[in-house]
Amino acid sequence: MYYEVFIAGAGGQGVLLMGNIISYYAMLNDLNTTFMPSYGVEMRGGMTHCTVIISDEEIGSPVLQEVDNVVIMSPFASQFTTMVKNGGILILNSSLVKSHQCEKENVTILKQPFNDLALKAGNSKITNMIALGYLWGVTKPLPFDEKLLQQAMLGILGESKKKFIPSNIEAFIEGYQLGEREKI
Amino acid sequence: MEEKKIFEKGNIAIAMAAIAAGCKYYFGYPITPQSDIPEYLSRELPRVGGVFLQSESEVAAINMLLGAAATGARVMTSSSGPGISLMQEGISYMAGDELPAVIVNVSRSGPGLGGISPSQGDYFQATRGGGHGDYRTMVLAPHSVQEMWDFTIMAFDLADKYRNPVIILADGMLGQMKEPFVTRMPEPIPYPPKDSWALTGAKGRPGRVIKSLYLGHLELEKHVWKLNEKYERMKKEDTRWEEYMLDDPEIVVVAFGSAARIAKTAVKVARQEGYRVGLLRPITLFPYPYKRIRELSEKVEKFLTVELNAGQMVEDVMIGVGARSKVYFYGRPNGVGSLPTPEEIYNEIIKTLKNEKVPVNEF
Repeated sequence: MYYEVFIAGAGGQGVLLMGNIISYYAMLNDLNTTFMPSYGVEMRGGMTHCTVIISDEEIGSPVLQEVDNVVIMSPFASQFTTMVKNGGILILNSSLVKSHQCEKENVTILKQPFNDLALKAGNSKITNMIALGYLWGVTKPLPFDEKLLQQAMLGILGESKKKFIPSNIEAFIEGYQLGEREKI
Repeated sequence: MEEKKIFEKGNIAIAMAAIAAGCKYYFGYPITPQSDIPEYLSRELPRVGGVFLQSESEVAAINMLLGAAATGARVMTSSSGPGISLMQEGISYMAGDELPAVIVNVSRSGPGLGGISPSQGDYFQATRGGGHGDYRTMVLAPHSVQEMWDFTIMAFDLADKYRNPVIILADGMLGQMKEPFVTRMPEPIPYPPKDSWALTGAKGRPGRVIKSLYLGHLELEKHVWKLNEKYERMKKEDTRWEEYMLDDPEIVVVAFGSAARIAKTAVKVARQEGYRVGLLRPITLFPYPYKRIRELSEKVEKFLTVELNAGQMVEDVMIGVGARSKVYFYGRPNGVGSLPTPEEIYNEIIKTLKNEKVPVNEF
């Protein structure tokens, strides 16, 4: 079993939270996983990205030059479209990323307006969870289990933010169902 | 402590392990990429009855560490590149004073202010003593978050065993990445009781002096030889390394820390493609596994050293190999974006096998 994803955006969009949850979920499945973050010095708005790897074998480098799955949440990070491998999957947050360039071959490019979907649901703060659910539905890193996801969110967010978990799960499921419907 | 599986940064693993190892006193000054350690300990140490103290500088921090270590307490500081340089005077004093302490270097790139990206440019500083005078510090090089935990606990035992500072040499990648790790207690390393030397107040016994100044005739020479006996004992009893796919190799890759991690992937791929490649990963950088390298050099013709610097540990590989084998080098010194990929290291392995690289030990 091997899975890799690179998620990039602007600080404050919750890009690192997305990566953290995937990794934590993998740990709950007794798999090896690495989460490698990178962020700017700014509290909000700086360029942020993370690489997540999941494997049933020992993981070597936690940093990758090219990745199977790439998610771009902000035009600020659109330079990272080059991170996708030939034949990989590139997911763009089309609410903000209006144009892109990707010279790799046979890349499946999927666009979803994650910010608009969140606003429609009445909560702009769940944008990243809709995107995470969508990524999960499209790329299926591991079988989705609501209880495990709850546990992963609690592990990352902590008791003090427990009350936000139900709305985040709901957003995840909305994105997941959208992702599952993609034919690739 | 209850064994749990935790998903956290390498820096946090070090901070948690320090508390688990019984460290009660931390002195330090913030610097990227290790500030998670003081941040965590500033919150958690007071909860276990310990003291967290942010000093006015690294010079102050290391001298506070010296003072606290003299009482026999378990003490730790952490810093990165420039801060560790400022601490060198104090580390030399602690070696001379024979004081145990754990010093963590989550290294960044240099020289000078350099940058905050992962680097192994502090290898010489860590393994050759770093400060002035005739001394060594033991150096442990983790390559995973689990080892950040394990080695921190081991480092406290080893410091107490030898009454000597122990350095944990990590880097920004190991400090900042998250991985699951188990909060287990590694096999304890026995160490002598501290009540024969610690400064605990002289009530009911003669006073003691801890010092590194020896002005009498032949006095300092005797002291330095006594220190040296400990370094020789470290070599005999505590040289550690990991061997990966080292069966009947045609070429041995030598790498430590983050570089070893990336090299492991390259070695695995090369093995899958039928190349007889193995990895030797030094875990203690001092004492260095010269003996194992020597043994391997009796059978293996080529050694490829991979480092995140312009060539430091490669000199130790050359010492181990002597004139028996050829030593090759691939280095990516510091800087944003210069972390090598497994593919790059794989290509270097193939180039070495095809004699497309020039050995560094042909003078």
